[in-house]
This record gives sequence, C-alpha cells and structure tokens, in this order.
Amino acid sequence: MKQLKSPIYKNYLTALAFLAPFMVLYLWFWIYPIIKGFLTSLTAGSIGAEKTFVGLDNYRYMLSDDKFWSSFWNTLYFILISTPSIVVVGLVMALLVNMKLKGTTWLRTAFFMPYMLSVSVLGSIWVFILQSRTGLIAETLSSFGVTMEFSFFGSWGMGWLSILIATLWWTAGFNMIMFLAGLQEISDDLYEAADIDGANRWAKFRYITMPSLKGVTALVMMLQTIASFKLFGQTWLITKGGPGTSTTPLVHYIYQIAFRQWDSGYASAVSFVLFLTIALISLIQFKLLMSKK
Amino acid sequence: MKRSMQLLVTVIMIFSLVLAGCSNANNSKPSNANASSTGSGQASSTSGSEASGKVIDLKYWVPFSGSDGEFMEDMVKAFNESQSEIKVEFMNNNWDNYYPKLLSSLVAKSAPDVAVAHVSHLSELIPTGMIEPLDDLVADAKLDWSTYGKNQENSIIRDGKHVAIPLDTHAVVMYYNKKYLGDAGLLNEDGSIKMEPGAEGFTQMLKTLKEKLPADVSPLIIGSNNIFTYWIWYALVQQQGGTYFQDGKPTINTPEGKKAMELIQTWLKDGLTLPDIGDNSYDIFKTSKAAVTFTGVWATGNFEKEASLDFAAVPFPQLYDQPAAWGDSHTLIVPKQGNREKQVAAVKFANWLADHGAMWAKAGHVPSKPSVQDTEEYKALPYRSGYAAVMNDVKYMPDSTKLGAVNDAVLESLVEINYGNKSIEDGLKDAQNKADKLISR
Repeated sequence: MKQLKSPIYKNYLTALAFLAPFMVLYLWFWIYPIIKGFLTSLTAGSIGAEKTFVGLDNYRYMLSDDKFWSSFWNTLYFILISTPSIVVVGLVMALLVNMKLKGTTWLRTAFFMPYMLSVSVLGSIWVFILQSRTGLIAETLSSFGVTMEFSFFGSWGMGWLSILIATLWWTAGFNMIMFLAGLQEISDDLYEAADIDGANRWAKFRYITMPSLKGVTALVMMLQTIASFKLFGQTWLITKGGPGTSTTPLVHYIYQIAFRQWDSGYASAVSFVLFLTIALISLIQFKLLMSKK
Repeated sequence: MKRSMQLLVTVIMIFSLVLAGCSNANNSKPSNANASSTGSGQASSTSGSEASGKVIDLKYWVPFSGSDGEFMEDMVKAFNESQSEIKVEFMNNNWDNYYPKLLSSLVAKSAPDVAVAHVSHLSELIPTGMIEPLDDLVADAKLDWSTYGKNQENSIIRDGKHVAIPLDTHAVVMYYNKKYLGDAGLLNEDGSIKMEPGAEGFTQMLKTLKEKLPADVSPLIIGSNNIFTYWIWYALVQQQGGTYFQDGKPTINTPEGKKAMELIQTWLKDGLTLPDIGDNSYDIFKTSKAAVTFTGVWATGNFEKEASLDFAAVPFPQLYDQPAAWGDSHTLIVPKQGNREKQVAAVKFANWLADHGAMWAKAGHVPSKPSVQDTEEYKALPYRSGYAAVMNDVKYMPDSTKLGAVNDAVLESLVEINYGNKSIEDGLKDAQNKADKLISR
C-alpha cells in the first residue's frame, strides 16, 4: 500500500509545483470571477450600497424584461448577418491576394490594416463617413448636387447595415489571413492533376479549394460567432444603440445595467445568461466540426 | 521525502508571493489607501501645517478628457505656485468611464483626496457612505457659503448637509450667428434678437430666417438624435412649470412633456431644423451652416476659434411661462479618510478654484461665485458674460440614483419621435413605462 502510494504522490506534487504559477492566476482571474459573478447575480442593491440576497429574482425579472429580449434578438440577428458576410468577404479577399498578381503585397497590407485599429478609432472613422450633412458620403453627394435623403443611423435596418459595414471593414482582414493560410496549405499537385484532366477554374475551386478550406471555414465561423456575441464598441460608438433600442446588443445592455443603472446583480445575471449561451453554441459548433472530420 | 518537502516550500512561497498583493490595511474605519497618512488621524490640524512647514500632498481626479482639461491643469499649476502648504497632484481621467472608476475607488477605499463630480451624479456616489459632509470642515478652511450662488449652493445640499463644493454651472444656452440675423433684419440695436415673446414668436423668427437664408443654411441646429434633444425637452418642460420627477416618481408622459415635443416636431416638420444630427451640430454652426443653435456653454471655446464666425451667446430663450434651462454643475467632493488635515486642505483647494472661476470660465463654464463675474479678468473674456445669468435659471435635475438610467430611457424614446419612428403619444408613453420600471427596481 505504502509503496504504491508514495511515487504517485511525488508525481502529483511535482506536477502541482509546475502548474501552480499558472493555476493560481487562472483560478484567480478566470474561475473566481465566474463564480463571484454568479453569486452576485443572486443579489440586489446598487453598486456601492448594501447587497441583499434575492435568489433567482434577477433571472425571473429577465424573462419579463422587454429590453433584455430585444437586445438578445438583436445579438442573434447580428450573428446571422455578420457571420456569412464576413466568411464570404474574408474568402474573396484571400483569393484575390492569393492570385499572385502585381501589387499583392500592397493589397494584403491594405486589407489587414484596419484590423490593427482600436475600436474607438474605428468608431470615429465611420461616424465621420456616415453622419448626415457633414459626413464624407453626404458631403460628396452634395458636391454633385444630390442631397442624401436617407439616414445611416435613423432606422433599425440602416443602423444594422452601418454596424455591419464597419465591422466587416474592421475584421475581415483577420479572416483573410486565416483563409490565406488555408489556401497555401493546399498542395499544388492537386491543381496540376486537375489541369491535366482539363478542369476549368470553377471546377477547381468547387472541388479542390472549397473542400480543402472546410476546416478553416468552420474555425472562422466559430470565432466570428463568439466575437459577434461580444459586440459592443461599434454600437456604443456609432449608433449609440439607437434609434430607440434597435441596435442595442446584449453586452451594450449589460454595460448600461451595470454602469448607468448601477445594478450589479441584474447585470451579472444577464452576463451569466450570455456566458451560458456562448458556451452552448460553441459546444454545438464544436460537435458539428468534430463529427464532420 | 526531502524533495517533496522542498516542493511544498516552493509552492507555499509562490502562493504567499501572489497573496501579498492583496494584503491591504483592513481598517474597519473608513479610510483611504490612496490618501496615505501623514498626520495622526483626528489630531487638530489647522495650525499644525503652518508651524511645521511640511507640505500636504493631495491627489486630485477630474473627468476633463475634453478640451477643458488643459484649463484645469493650468489652474492646478497656478494653485501650487500660489502657496507652499499644499501640493496638488492632478490626474485627468477619461470622461467615458470616470464614474465607474470613481465609484469603485470609493467602495474600495482607495479614492483620491479630492475629486470632481457632477451634481447629477452625487446621488450615485453618496450611498457608498464615503462622501464627507463638509459642514465641520468649512470653518477651518475659511470657506463662506454665502459667497456661492444660491441656486448652486442649494444643489449640493443633501439631508441638510453640504456634500460638495460647486465649481461652475454649465447649461444649454443659445448661440446665434450675428451676420445672418442682422442680414435678415432680426437684430435689435443692442445686438439682441428681434422677436415676439413665446414659442410662437421664436418659431416665427425661425420662419423669417428660412425665407432669407441661403438654401444650405439651416435656421436652427440642434442635436436631434443625441442628448441635446433630451436637454432641450427638459428645459421646455421646466419652462411650463412641469416636473420630471414628483415625490420620487418620474413624470414623463405629461401635457407639458407633450407640448415640448410638439414644438420640436414643428421645427423639424417645417424644415426649421434638421433631422438626424448628432455631435456634428457644433461643426454645422461653427462653419456658418446654421443661424441659431442650442448647445452647451462648453462650445464657446470651440466657436471662438473660428475667425469667420461672428456670434453671440445668450441664456436659453424663455418660450413659456417662466425662464428655465437644463444645466448641471461640476463640484468637488472630499472622500472620507482618517487624515482631517488633508480634508481641510482639499476644501481650501476647492474654494480657491471657485475663487479663481475666471480662469475656469475660459473653458466656457459659468463661475459658481457671483463675485467672480465682477472681476476684470472675467469681464475681459468675450461672450461669457452674455450667458452668465443662466446660472439663476438652471433647473437642476432631480436627485435619484436611477437618474442616469431614466435619462437614457427617455432619450431613447425622444430620439425615436424625432426620427418619426414613433408618435409623440406612443413615445412618451413608452418612456414613462420604462422609467417607472427602472425606478421600481
């Protein structure tokens, strides 16, 4: 008994010593806040004041909170429109850059540059371009004698279009790099063989390129979905969540609850629901991804 | 066995290293980690500093990430040079997340010794129990409340106690382009606007402007999709004697509220002002693409930089029964801490800032002490004295921890009305429901 036990113990201790520096930080900064967040979600009371335990009241209130549901659907809507478009735009950019034409390096840099900007810069740029009267588009049109009759921020549809365009411009470059890596993994042999068989460009794309990019596409889609769930900066800076609440996504609403209503309990509850939703969707995507392989 | 002991020791050492980071002093008394102790707590203070000649360091936070930051920095420099007892360390913070930061620092007992806070945010900070009532400190700091504007002093009294020191008043006032109004024959001899009294007179004046102005110049410009819509609506409601909160309950959907929105709708529908305008309202007025604007006094410093713009600034016009304007004040709060000497120094510093309001007025704000308005330095500043009277008309917003949240909800609905996505009735009804729901939580 004793002989069996001691070497295993030693092993564990060694492992623990090596893991400890990471584990301490991981538990402290990742796991503890999640648990603390959950506990906070069971309390009521404004930030800075006394908290009282209220059980699941915050979650019950959420069910009847119109703004929670509207921001939840807004978030899902954004994922629905942003994920396919970012995959397509990223892929088209990658294909363009991969054609090895003149000026490819310049093009690749141009496509990737916006990704390096911070969200506040992105916000200022797009407000400057889209705003009515003094915006770049409005001024350009008016110099041709045309008045811009529509507003980029004035309705549900246009508001989301503005957010989508800004987000695409900002993040598509990163997805291009992913696709580019995928494209360069494809062996030239396959294309040569196809040439010998007399396949045209479309056939090569359809039967060689697309199947080979399946893995990358799945990865891009998963990352994009998670990123879209966390949409905040763009709506906060460009449309301010409006008009009304029509471009307010969940994280935007969570910020409002926490730092405008000072309701840490309810903000934590909504955050926790967001956390569970992302976890669930990632799990489903991961399962699908694995089963395909 | 020996090796595993060594490992254990290593692990323990790592743990203790990491844990050392949070071994802050756990004082049961509210005191400030950031405001380190130099004196021995409650010991008498006023004479101490003069005798020993030691310098009191004060940490000072402000949210002036806009253009007013430089003016405040200059004032702190001037204060530090003016005397040798107190040294103020200035820290400018980003406006966007100032209150979350200030509030957490108060909760964590690591607040600065003195900080700027808006009157409208005081009620969010007070529940922390970390805001020192000033009535015991002002005598030692030789601060006299009667030197402050009455309206401004009243705005910082909570439960009969003074909780902050007003620094200024900033309000939404009216700016107009003197060239455009003069060309349209709408200026009196003294440079004021020639118009009939009341909302009709004002609207008629805008209509006259519309006939005479070039097609690409708007008679009036306001932020019709941003916070200015709320501020203007609030002022118009107050001018009718309407309320925003009554007995702690929001009163949004009222006849006064409706009437105010109808007036703004008239301007929008008759093309007297433009829809879908945000922060670019400043630029539109600055580049002479509008004749009149309602905007914050802080725009003065911006507008006066444009040489081609000939403008005047006056208080928000009275369109209904009584004068009223939306406004707020920057005030200075003194967080609780064990070191009374520092708190007295903080009050002295705040009072000095208010005394030197003429320096602060360069940023556009109206000084909180009426006597400052009589100084040569203040009179020498252009435009400022034109709207200084607004400090008496400002109707401060009601005191509620949920004020910011209710304002946001109301603004959402008002902007929807301005965009024509909702009728006035539906919009105000929505706003009322949202506000009731927020208050009931």
